[in-house]
Amino acid sequence: MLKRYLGLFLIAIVVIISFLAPLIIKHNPLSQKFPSFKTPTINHPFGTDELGRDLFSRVVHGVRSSLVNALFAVSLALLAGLIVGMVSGYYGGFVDSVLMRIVDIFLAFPYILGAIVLMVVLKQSSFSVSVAIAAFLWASFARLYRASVLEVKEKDYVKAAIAMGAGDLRIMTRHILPNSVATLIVYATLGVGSAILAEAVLSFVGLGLQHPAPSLGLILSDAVNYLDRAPQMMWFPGFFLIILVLGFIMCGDGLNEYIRS
Amino acid sequence: MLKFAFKRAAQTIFVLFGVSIILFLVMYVVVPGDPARAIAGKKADKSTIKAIHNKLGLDKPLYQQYFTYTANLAKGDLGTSYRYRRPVQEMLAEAMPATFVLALAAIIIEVILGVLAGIYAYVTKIKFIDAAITAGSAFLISVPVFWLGMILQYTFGIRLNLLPVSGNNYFTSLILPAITLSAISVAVVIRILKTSLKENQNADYLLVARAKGLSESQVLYKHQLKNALIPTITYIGMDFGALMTGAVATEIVFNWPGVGLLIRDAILERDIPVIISSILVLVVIYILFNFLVDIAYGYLNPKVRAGEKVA
Repeated sequence: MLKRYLGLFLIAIVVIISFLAPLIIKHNPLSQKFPSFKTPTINHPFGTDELGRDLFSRVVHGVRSSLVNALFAVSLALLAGLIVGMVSGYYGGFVDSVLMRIVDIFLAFPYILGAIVLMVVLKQSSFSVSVAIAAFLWASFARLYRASVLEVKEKDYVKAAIAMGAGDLRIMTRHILPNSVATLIVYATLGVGSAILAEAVLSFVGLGLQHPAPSLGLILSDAVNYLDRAPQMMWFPGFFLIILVLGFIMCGDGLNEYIRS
Repeated sequence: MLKFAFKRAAQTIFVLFGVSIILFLVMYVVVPGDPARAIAGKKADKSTIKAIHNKLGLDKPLYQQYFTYTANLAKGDLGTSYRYRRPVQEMLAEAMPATFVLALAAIIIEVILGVLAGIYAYVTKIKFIDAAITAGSAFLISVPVFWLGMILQYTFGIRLNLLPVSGNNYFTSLILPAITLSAISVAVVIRILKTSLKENQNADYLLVARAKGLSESQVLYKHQLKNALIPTITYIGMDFGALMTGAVATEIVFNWPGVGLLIRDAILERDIPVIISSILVLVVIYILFNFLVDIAYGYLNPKVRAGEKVA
C-alpha cells in the first residue's frame, strides 16, 4: 500500500521537477556559452559540463527523453505482448506452440544485448532506441500474458459466452481482456523501469541517443572521463535515473500486492 | 530424467538456430550500406566490389548465405573485423579470459557474501541492520551497474586513492570491477535467502529436528539452509544474463580489457562483425548456461521434470 504511493510520489517529484523547473531556470541544454566544469551555483544548480553546458537543463531534458522513450518502448512491447499472448493463450495448440517457440528465441537474449544488436543496424534516433528495447521486451510480456489468458479462458463466464455463440474476437476483447489485463499492467509498470535503465545503458555504450542530445546515459558516459574534475556530472544524472527507476519498480510492486490481495 | 534432458536439449538447439537466424538477418540484410564497401573503402570501383561480393558469397541467394554463415559458425569462424582485418574469433579469444575472470570473481563474491549476509540478516536480532539490508537491497535493484562502478571509482580510486581505477595490471585492479558487478546481485541474494529462511522457519521438518534436540544453529545449517538455498540458486542462475550485460558496462567504466571493452571499441569504429559476433558468443554462453542450470535443477528437483511433462 505504502509502497505504491511512495513509488508514485517519487515519479511525481521527478516529473514535476523536469517539467516545471525549466520555467524558472531557462538555459538551453545545448548552448555552450558558460565556463566548463563549474561547480553548482544558484544560476546553475548542478554546475556545468565539459563543454560549458548547464547540467541542470541537460539532466532535466534527459529525464524527459528517458520517460518518453521508455513509455513508448513499453507501449510497443505491451501491444505486441498483448496480441501474441492473447492469440497464443486463446487458440492454444499449434498456433500456441509456434508463437511460444518464437518467444523462446527472443527470451534467449539478455534484452540489453539484443537491443545492442538492433541498434547496430537501426538509424540512431530516440525512435529506434524505443523500438530496439521493445523488440526484446515484448517476449516476456507475451509469455506472462499468455498465462493469465489461459487462466481466464477456463472461467464460467467465458464458457457462457462461447455457449451463446459469441465470436472469437468478441470473447477475446469483451470477456478475456478486461479480466486478464491487470497482471500485465503490473509488468508494464516494472517494464518502464527496465526500459529506462536499458535506454541509459544503450546511450552509455554509445548506441542510444547521440551527442549532443541531452540523455542521462550519455551525460554519464561523458562523466566517466571527468570524474576527478566534475563529479557533479556523475551524481545528478545518476540520482535522477535511480529515483525514476525506483519509483516505477515500487509502483509495480505495490500494484502487484494490491491485485493479489 | 533422460527424457527431460533430451527435451531441453532439443529446445536449446532450436533456440540456438533461432538466435543465429536473427543475427544473420541483422548482419546480412539490414546492415546499412554494403559490407563490401565497408571493407574496400568508399573509393573502390565496381569490379572490386563485385569481387568482394563474390568472395563473401553475397551474390548467392539468402538461404545459401545463411547455410554458409552457420557452417562457418560451426567451424568456429566468426567473421573478419572491418577495422583490423583480423578473424573475430582471435580477438574474442584474447578478450574472453579477462571477462571470465571478472565474471567468476563476481559470482564468487555473490555466493559467499550474499549467502553469509543473508544468513546474518535472518539471524540478527538488531532491527536496524535488518531494516538497512531490506532498504539497501530495494534501492540497489534500481541502480545502473555502470553508475555504481563510477561511484566506487570516484570514492576509492580518486578520493581515497586506495585502489587503481582502471586497467588489468594487478590483482588490485580486479577488486573494484568485481565488487561493482556483484553488488546488485549480492543485495538480491541477501533478500531472497532471508525471505526463504523466514518462510521455512516453522516447517514440520524443522519441528522434528528441534524435537530431536538439535541446537538452533544445527537446525539452521543442517536442515533449514538446504531448502532455503533452492530459490537462491535459481536466482543466481537467472541472474547470469544480467551479469553478462553488467560485465559489458563494468568493463567500459574500468577499462577492463574484456569482451565488453571489445564491443564498445567496435561500436565506436562501427566494426559490425565484431559487435555481432561478440554478442553472439555472449548469448550462446547464456543459453548453454541456462540449459545446464535447468538440467541440474531437474536432477535435484523431481517436480520440475514432472511439471515439464504437463506443460
